[in-house]
Amino acid sequence: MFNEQEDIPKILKGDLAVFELLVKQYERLVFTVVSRMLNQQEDIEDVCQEVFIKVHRSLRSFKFASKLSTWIARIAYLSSINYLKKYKRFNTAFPPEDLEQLHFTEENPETAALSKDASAYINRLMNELPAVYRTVLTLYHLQEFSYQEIAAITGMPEGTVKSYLFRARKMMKEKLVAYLKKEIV
Amino acid sequence: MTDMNDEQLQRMLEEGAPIPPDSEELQAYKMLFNALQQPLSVHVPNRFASRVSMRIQAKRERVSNLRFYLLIAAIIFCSAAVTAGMLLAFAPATAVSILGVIIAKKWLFIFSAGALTAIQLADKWLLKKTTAKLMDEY
Repeated sequence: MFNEQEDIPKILKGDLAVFELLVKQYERLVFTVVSRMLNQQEDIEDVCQEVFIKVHRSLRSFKFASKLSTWIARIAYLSSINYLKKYKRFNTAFPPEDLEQLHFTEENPETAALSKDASAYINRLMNELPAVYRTVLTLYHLQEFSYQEIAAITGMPEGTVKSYLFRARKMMKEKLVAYLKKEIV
Repeated sequence: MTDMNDEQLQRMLEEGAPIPPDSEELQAYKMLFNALQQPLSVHVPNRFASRVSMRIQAKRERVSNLRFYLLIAAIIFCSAAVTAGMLLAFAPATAVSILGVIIAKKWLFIFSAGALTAIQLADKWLLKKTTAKLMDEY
């Protein structure tokens, strides 16, 4: 088990074995954040490696002002955004505020087969949301970060985080209600 | 349902507060919250931590080698400067004749320096490529 207070000074002295403990402790968090932003497994692994290399390089600047997990998640989030921008896959032409105008894939036999249960349908909806919304939902529901922590990770104001969460859930709920009605009929 | 009701429903589910009798909307929200809390199936490759550690180690070695080469270059440059200074101070004639040789054979010196740099760069490139390949196999 990684102990922040005791183990960070050891890493700063050059102990790579202790750094491996840190990687093992936070690799799932980093993979979850990066997977929500990127799609290709190879890209995901490359970015995750870069994240931990950045963590190692910048660990000296970590002043225990936040939880280490929040600090690492922020590096993972920013690295994913940089990667998407670098390969021009970050949709800046589509402001995340316009969620209501987002067009989801129309239901067809293929997508219907893929989402034969509500849970799969929700996952499909999630994957079609803009990356920022996916990240906020994942950080809140899956990683159980607070609004303040998500604001620190993404650099968005806390009010924006709340608003993104609310709108994404409301929109998904409306789609789900329509889907469930169709299922019952 | 209004936005206000959606807000209230979401807040109640977030806080785990007592919820009103089931409605279609509430049912959908419950289902959504449950699905969002399901662990994501992320694939963390075997020995991921070791691979990161190996990359950091390889980088450390490259930095250390670069420092060593820079130190050697600085020592050579300083020695040459000191020698030139001493020759100019104590044996100006010899200094002028050495400078003449250097000027006459300038292309040989430039070519040698270029060749040495190219060999070093090629070696570094090959080493980086081999290390990356080894790490992929690891």
